[in-house]
Amino acid sequence: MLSVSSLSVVYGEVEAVSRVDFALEKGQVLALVGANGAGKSSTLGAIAGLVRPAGGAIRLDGRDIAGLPAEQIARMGVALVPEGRRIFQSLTVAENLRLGGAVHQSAADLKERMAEMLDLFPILRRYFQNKGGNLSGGEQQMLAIARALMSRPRLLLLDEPSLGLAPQVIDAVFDLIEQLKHSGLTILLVEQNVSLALDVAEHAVVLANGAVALTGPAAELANSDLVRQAYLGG
Amino acid sequence: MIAQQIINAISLGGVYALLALGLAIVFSIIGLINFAHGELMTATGYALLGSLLMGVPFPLAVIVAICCGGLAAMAMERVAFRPMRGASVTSLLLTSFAVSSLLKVLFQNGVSARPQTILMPDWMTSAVTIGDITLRVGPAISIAISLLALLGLELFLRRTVMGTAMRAASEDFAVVRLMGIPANRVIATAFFISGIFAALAALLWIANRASVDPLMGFTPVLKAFIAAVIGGLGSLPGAVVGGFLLGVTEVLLQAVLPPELAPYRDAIVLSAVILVLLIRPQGLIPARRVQRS
Ligand SMILES: Nc1ncnc2c1ncn2[C@@H]1O[C@H](COP(=O)(O)OP(=O)(O)OP(=O)(O)O)[C@@H](O)[C@H]1O
Ligand SMILES: [Mg+2]
Repeated sequence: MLSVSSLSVVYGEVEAVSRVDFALEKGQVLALVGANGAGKSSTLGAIAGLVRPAGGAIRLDGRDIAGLPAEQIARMGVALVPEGRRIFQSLTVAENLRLGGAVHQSAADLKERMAEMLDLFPILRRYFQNKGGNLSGGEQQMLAIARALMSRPRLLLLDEPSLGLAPQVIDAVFDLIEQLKHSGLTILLVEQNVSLALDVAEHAVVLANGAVALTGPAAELANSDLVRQAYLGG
Repeated sequence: MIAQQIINAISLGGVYALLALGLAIVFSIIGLINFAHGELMTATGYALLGSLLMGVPFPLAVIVAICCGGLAAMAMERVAFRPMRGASVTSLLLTSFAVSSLLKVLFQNGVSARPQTILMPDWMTSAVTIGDITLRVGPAISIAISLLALLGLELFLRRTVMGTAMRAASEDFAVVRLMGIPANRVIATAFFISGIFAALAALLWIANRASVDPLMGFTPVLKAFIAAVIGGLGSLPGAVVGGFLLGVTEVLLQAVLPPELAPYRDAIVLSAVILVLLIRPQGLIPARRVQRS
């Protein structure tokens, strides 16, 4: 479904991502892990169209989308839940979701999807008319994911969904990811919480200094010495 | 007499509020202070003049003029600002100065540097007498139009997807694009609204002065800029509050200042502005904006 080849992202003098390759099959979860500044968010940003790649190809079902504007990529079925959630603070939960569903053609479509999301996230139903900024961190993360799902994406990009959340809330987020995976959604998951990420993912890519350091089935990587020492505490 | 002063004050405040809102909407979305906003007023004025000279009936001429304001703003965005997308705030500012100067020269050479008279219909300059107070019709209409425009904008921003997207874009434009909402459409809409509001302000301004000239936009837009800053640059409620506050202060000072102090009116107003900004540097109702690198 998604294949990234030789992707590079450059900010001024800094090469944040250099010649990264990986592929993701339909219905799979791929974990993209690595230290701070390894280039994970830049990779997602390039796929979603927020940053223009300096080189390489990003194919979505065979079509190269590298360098297309973000709004066009979103309309092709790619949804990014950005790092730090970035929900619209001054908008209500309802309005946040409404914008998430802006790509829907018909009002009936939108209404149906909204109802599905509220069933999946009962907490959002409760705070439907509250300002996004008044939600707790965990609730904001759920809203950010629901907002991305509103468009019925084919590919979901999650950037550190567990960032800054309490342990029980992290569990809830990962339960949800598991649930989405079972519903057949294709997910590219960036995480600092490597053990949880490797648990849910089939395959994993380890980035270091912008380049692929290691790649393979998630279970194998979880047992590799390098990953255990660097990310799983030995 | 007092009633008339109050109405005049609110009416001027409404004009400043419309202009300040136009500046604020564009600023809140692309971070540009559009110094060519005044030229949108001027363009509207000439569109009205031209239509009337061609024999278009007054109500229709007004509609043509308003559309011209909106379209001129969109054209300005398309031609001058879109190619500068992603440029620094300073470059955008300089671009808007350039557009402003260019249009002024065009108006001066293409039409005339001297003011052209526009005849307003009699009913607009008439007065009505209620009991023992006589009130002019013009300022009352002006207030009504300003309030209707504010109400319309509020409804648009709250009730429509594009309006919601514009509020969202003032917080975090990149995420709005992630939702599949085209950036160009959001920005074009912002300019269109700012142009319509500049056009309404221009018509109200002209109704009071019965003439248009190439520099007619300068003073009101300068005042509107001050109003937007007092209110909190980029904040829409701030722009409205700042506009009314400035207009009301100006007219009331005019009324109460002894004649020997009257020439210092603007100096007094600007001192008050500086005082407000010393106490609240972010303005009265600061804009909320998520700052990202
Ligand atoms: N907009 C930018 N301008 C300049 N440099 C940037 C920008 N965004 C990221 N970088 C740099 O690019 C490198 C990779 O950043 P990126 O955010 O992709 O890493 P990351 O793996 O997501 O890190 P984290 O775990 O901290 O989120 C870093 O060195 C970062 O400082
Ligand atoms: Mg990151």
